[in-house]
Amino acid sequence: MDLGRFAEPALLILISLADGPKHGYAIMEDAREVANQKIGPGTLYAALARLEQRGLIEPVPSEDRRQPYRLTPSGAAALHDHLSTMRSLVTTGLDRLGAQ
Amino acid sequence: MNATWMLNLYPQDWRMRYGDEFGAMLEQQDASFADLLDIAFGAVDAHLRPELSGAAPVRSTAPAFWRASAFWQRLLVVHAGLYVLGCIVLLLINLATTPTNLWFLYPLWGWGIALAVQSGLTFRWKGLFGADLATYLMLNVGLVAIDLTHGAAGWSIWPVASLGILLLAHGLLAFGNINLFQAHALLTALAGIELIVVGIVAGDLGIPLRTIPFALLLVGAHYLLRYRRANLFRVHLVAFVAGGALLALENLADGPPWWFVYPVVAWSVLVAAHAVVHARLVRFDDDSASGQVMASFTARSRTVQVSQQRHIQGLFVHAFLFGVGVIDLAVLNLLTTPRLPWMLWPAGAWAALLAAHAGFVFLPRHRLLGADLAGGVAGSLALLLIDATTPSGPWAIWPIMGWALLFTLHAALALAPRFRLLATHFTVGLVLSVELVIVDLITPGGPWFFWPVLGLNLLLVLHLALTAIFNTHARRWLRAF
Repeated sequence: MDLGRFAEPALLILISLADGPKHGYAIMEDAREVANQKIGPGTLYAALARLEQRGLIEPVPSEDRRQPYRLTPSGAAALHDHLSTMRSLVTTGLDRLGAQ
Repeated sequence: MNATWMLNLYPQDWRMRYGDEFGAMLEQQDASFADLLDIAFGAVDAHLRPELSGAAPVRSTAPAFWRASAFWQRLLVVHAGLYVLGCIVLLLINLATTPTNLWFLYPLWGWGIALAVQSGLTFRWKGLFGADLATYLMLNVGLVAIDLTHGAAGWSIWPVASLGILLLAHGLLAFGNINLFQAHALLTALAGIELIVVGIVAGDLGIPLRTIPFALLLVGAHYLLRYRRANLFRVHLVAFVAGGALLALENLADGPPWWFVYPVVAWSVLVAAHAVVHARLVRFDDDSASGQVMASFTARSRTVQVSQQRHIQGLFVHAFLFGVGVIDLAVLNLLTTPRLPWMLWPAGAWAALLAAHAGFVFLPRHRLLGADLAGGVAGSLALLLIDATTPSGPWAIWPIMGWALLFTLHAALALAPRFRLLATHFTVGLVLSVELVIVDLITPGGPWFFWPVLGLNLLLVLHLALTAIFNTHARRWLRAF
């Protein structure tokens, strides 16, 4: 996922959607709770638009004005790959710290 | 604070796709000042990346012929429409102001020539022959009309004949009746006859006598290349010797001053460059000097290596030309005005260009930055040298400071992609502060540098603080410390 300066908010959005569809405000709240990160409204929608354009998320049909989004299969796979890489990095880093 | 009004900052396509849900989200929360800034940056991003709005393209309601036309055809139709409109407007102004003098025909004629050229380029007929023909007709109809309405002196025969010869050769070539050499020879023969006629009419055969030998020399060179398969460098060398001799003969016929030296010297530089390439002093294989320089690039792909090697070979040719050119300039300077070292100016400028070329070649990841740095440093040294050796100084510090500021801007933009704005502000602010102090020290009055430098640095601190607060990467970077 090469999303430039939107890489970090995009990751938080994908993590937020991993346990089910959410609308924009719910994603912001979730990111604040899970990662203690505040995603601004402009940044959130810039990242959402990029993720939607890449086919990693999609809107869920809804009667509400607040549009929910969910992960697509390719979005779930991309998130899985990314988190696996991060886990490997974390494990390596912690092992090396432990070895000192 | 309700921030839904900020939706208006976004482009229409974006609002059509996301506006409703974005507004609903904004209604759910009180926006802080940081949120307002974030929305504003989001709007800028949406304007810069319109493809992200995913809006379906608006279906054109234009007529079918218009939609089917290529861009250049549409441009021609617009131009023709403007031309007709311009005709009417100018005619009305002409009739309303000076009805006895129809001056409006002149701008319309000039504009019509431009329109004819555009028509020929848009609807190609036998390559560029259509454009040539349209331009010829438009130009000469006007010239003949002016000639006939201003005393019918008959001068319009010359442009009609001269350009007609060109058009004839172009037409025969375009329709495949003759080859390029035959077109060249025909053109030379007809132009030569015309020049002789002009000389007879004007009572001065000097013009054909001076020009026809050079034209024949070019035809001879073309013949040797085409039909004798002669070596290009040898033909060039023969043409140089013969051309130089013709120039010297003309100069001898006129007597001093000996102006023929200048074109001969300039031509000799070109011949020398050709000799370098011909003698394969710059070789296109890996054993050459440039191939050895390429050893540092062996880890890179073969395509990149070859491309870089050609860059280095081009630089060698340029360096050789520079050496020959500077020697020529020095000789000319000594022969003409030994007390005034004017050759320092072209030599200095050329040295800066050569250094820029070297910077371009040897910094393959940032070629333009390398050219800027090397060219700027060499140019600055050349300016300092000239400044030191000429009486009216010192002045070199001013262009050098200007370049330093621009280079800093260039480097920050090229090297700091993540914090581009901050890096630009920081480095340019720093260099500008130093330069303001220098200007204050070397000019009378003052000291006054304190206030602008303080203002610049306060702005910088404010920018740093805003970045630390609002930029995600900066926050993460700061946390790491």
